[in-house]
Amino acid sequence: MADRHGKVAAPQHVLLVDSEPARAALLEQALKDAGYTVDKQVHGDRSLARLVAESQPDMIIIDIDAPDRDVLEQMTQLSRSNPRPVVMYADEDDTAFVEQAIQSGVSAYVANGMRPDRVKATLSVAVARFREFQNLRQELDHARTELADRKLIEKAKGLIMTHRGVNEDDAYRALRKMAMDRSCRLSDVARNVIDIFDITQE
Amino acid sequence: MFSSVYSAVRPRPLKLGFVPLLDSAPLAVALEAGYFESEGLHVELHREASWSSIRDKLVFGLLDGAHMLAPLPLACSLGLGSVHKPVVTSLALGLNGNAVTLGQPLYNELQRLCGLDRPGPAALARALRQFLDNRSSERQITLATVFPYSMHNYLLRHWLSLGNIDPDCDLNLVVVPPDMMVSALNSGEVQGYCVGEPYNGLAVHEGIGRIAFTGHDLWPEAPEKVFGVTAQWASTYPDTHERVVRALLRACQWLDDPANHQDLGKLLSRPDFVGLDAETLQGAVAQMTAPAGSDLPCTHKLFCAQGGTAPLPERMQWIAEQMLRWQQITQPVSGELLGQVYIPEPYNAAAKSLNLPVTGELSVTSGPLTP
Repeated sequence: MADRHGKVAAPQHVLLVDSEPARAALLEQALKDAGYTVDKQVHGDRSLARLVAESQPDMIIIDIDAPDRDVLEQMTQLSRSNPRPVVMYADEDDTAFVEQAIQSGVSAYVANGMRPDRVKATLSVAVARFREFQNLRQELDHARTELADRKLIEKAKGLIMTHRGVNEDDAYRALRKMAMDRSCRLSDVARNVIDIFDITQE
Repeated sequence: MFSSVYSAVRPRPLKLGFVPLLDSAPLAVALEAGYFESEGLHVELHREASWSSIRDKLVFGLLDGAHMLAPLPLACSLGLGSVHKPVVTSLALGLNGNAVTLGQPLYNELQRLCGLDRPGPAALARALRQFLDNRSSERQITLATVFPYSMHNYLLRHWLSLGNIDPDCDLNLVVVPPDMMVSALNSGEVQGYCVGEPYNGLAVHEGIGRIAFTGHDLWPEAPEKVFGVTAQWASTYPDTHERVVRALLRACQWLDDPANHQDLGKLLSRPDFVGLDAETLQGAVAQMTAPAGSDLPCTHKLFCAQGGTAPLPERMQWIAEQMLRWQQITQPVSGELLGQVYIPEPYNAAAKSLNLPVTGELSVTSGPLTP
């Protein structure tokens, strides 16, 4: 692998700590594709201090909400006796970039000697993957809600059909009219209808 | 430009961060008792997993204010361990509340060396010195605190120095998150720690540790947590700042009244607050004002009493001295910088409106135990 100056750079070693296995896998692949070697921890069952000592990473990428982060803060203080990671947020000119990282849930620590441009490139990869994961999860949540909504509407329709002796189209129209009159969501009306039938049946 | 009347109130909901500990109670109480609301504030509380997260989210504007370790505003303002961004505090969130817990085997050994049933902090530190001198080389001692810039770290180091122990050479000091302390003690990863409740009492309940002494034994009325905001936020929203401080101040008054303690454990056990079981928290709450059995000493946790909420420079001066003493910084902190970090104005305005003493009327009467 050649860097900007045409010199061959040794592969950088990244320690990835993330309790979200799918997200960690996504980022691990992206980092490997970019030529990094990666150690990954997705379960917090091993001491982070020991893991760092064993892994000797050039950079640690860790979920911003990991409780273990404070452990790394201590390690940044021990550099007198041992070359340890230092906190990443040194690039003070670029607060917008760091804000973005924090917002997407990335925090990072780098070892002394890792070049700032490499740090930023790696962090960009992490931020992009964390965002991708965030979007995926949102889409999934959205799809789940939609499916649940559709089930509710079907059930409400069925109840109206049996109890009022109307056909499917009329039942649906009745629901839609109620939603429009009350300016609320169709699924909310459906939920109300189901609740009311539940009560009247008791 | 808008006049200050319009610009002074923060428009969108205020996001306040906290780490789920007993002393984050003022935020939960201010929200639940409606103190924020009566100040016209719409507040969202954000539970954070670490002090690093609190700091990063605050300095990069994802939080408006936060429950934080007393040394943290100064550490941020000095750029220690992070980006250099001034953070200020105008409100302390009470005094005391920490304790040092030692693993049962180590405590037993120190007790034997002291020849005392209930050795105090100084005797224990001297016994630990003796223990370190006699031990075989493979028996390393590791003690834990919660963060490098914390009262826990400075109190533990101060205690060790009473026994003439150099915390950077004679043993290992590590950081362990509070809720992992008990398991670290149990697995033998650490032999003791300094942490706030309920994580001392939990080790006692599980029969793996002894509360060697409380922070109050070492320094009665020691600072502990504060409410921090960035300097930029404080100067942009002085009116909102005063309102937040007043709401929290009322919560601290509420917390000092033992009549409210029954409700407190229940409130804090909610998963959006501390989230531990109500019984454990109720025990920790009871220990704030009285011992809860022979192995569970009173922690003397005060919120508003003894000027516990006032940003008094004398208390902060000690923190600055510890940073220098333990080589976290190389130059002494100037009085000017301390004056920029610990700002009395919002506190004094809020205190006056509640008929509480202002900073000028309060003084610090106690300091840490000396050899």
